[in-house]
Amino acid sequence: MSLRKNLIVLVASTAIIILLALSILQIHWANTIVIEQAVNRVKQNINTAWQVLDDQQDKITIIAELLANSQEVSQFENKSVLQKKKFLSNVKEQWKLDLLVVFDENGKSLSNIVEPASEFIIKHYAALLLKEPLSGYVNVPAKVLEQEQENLRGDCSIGGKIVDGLFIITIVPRMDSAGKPNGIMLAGIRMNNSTALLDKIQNNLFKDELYKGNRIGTATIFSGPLRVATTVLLDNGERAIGTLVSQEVENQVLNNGISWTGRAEVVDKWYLSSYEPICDPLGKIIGMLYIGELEQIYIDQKYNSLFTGVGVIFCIILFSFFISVLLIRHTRRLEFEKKKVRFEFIRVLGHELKSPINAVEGYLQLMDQGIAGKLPEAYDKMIDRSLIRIGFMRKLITDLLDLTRFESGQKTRELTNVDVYEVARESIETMTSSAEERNICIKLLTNQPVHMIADRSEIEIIFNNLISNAVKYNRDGGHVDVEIKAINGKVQISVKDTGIGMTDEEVKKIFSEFVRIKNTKTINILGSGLGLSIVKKIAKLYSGETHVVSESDVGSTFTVILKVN
Amino acid sequence: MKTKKLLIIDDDKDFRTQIRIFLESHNYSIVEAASGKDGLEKLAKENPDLIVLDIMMETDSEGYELNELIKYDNHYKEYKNIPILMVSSIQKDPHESFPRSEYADLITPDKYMTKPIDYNKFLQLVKELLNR
Repeated sequence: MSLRKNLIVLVASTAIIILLALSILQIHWANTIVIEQAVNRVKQNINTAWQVLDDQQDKITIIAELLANSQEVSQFENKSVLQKKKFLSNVKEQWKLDLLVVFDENGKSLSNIVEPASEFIIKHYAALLLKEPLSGYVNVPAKVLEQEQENLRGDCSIGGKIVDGLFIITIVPRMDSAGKPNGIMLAGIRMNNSTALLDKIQNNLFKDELYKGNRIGTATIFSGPLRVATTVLLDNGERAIGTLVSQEVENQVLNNGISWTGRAEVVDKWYLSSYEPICDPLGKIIGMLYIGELEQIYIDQKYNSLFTGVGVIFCIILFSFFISVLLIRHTRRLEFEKKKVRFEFIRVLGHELKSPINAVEGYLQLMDQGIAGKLPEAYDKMIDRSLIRIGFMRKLITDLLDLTRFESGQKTRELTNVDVYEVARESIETMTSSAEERNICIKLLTNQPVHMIADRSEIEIIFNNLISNAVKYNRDGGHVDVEIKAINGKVQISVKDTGIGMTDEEVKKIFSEFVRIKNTKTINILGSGLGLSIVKKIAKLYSGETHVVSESDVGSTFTVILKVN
Repeated sequence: MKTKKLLIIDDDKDFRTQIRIFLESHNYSIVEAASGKDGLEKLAKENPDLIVLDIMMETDSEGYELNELIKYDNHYKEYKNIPILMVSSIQKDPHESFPRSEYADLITPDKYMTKPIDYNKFLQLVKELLNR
């Protein structure tokens, strides 16, 4: 009982430890996998955003190149002031450009209007212009923009205050009608307050998806540390621009040019965020691109996978525990059955030992009472019977000792080269006198030695049991045929009788302990009921087998097959 | 006085022989049966005055079953008043094995003795049962 308790405690505590360990593993796994996934996703997102900006740049370049080579632009000087103004404003409108200026070969604007931003850009990047067409992101300081025309100035300001402007520009050479360069042309779009551009990024990345009522991701453009265009909405529905980035991000990205990835709080919500620097053609960091994805999605994913994982683990543990309990019960039942078999063995043994003693004691009492008179001859039969019963009791005890020896495996076996034929011959010889009393003829059908490595006493027990059974259960005047064959590394011993035989039912249990077939035919035959179970146990020692073929009233053939090794 | 006839039902030949020798010396007539089946045949044929019945024969409980049959089965109702003296090497009194129903009295033997039997006590019981 205490063993069983200990086992259960052991199994339970092991289960709990395994559960805990697996849960920790699962938490770690969920964390790593989810975070890894999130980081990859953010990286991918920001690449996509850059792609959108690059596309925008390409678009402007194509437009600018087309225009620069057009007749309208090559003969720009010939246009009237009004025509120039109309042309430029039409093109700007058509292609949604914020900057569009044509310069002559001396760098003088041909637009006849005040355009400080464009002039600033041309001057600022003059060194680069000598080499090749230029495109990229540029910064136009607030003080330059202050002198700009009303609409551009307004578009670049936040809450009425003009801030540094961030533009995507392209500068291409202008050709005259002969195809010779005669100046340059600048086209650009503003990124400050550029809702269209940001919405495009947003759509490309997140397709307006909502998670629990919130947009799953946001994009923002920074001019320096200042948010100038974003898809993040404030509670009042306005875009969250005009605020500064954290000092940490500013230091890392703006001052040191290193991308920043991590959690960031944007308008009360946490985002898995990535900030990357925006550089101008001179390599100066002028702003940042920001992409963030709602952290809640990943937290929920993490917990989902965590709970699922822990749930599955818990189920497995529960299942294993259940199986263990079943196993323990099964073991207990086996133990119980083993005990039962033992008790049954002892009970039957007790009875088998008691009956010969009872018989002998009964005869002795009768003799003691002098019940048959004074003549000793009158008691001869009683004495004979007593001796017979005592003889079989001795046989029972010997069998029992043999059985115990084989079962415990404590017997030292003396393995030698044994001639099975010789053993059979000797066994038949000892049995012959009792067989002849009943006119039973025992024949050995084999007449040559059959050798195998064995314990001689074990082989003797096999023959003695089989042959004595064959005689005991034979009819008067019957036959017993003993045959030994060596086939394929095996020795086959068969003993055939012409006796009472057995029914199929009886055959099934004949090799069990204390099984003696009790019926009217066997009622006067004495035996221990252990002989065949001993034979079976010996056969097992030789990795062998035992068989019986029997027919009621015709006879039985017992076969023992032993492996030679 | 008419010689009383006893039926001994026991698969142990030696026990039957002993009872025969003993009781014949006390002027009883003995009929032997080596199994339950044999016993029932001899019961019908010989109509004995007393049955001496063993418990463990072909099966472990054959004696009990035979006893129940004779005492309780309608088929054998004409023999149900024949006293049964049960003998066995089982130490337990069959009264302990039969408390199971309201018919307990009907299906338990009249007397019980354990083997090896004390012949004087046995004779006394035989006499007692025959004088009922």
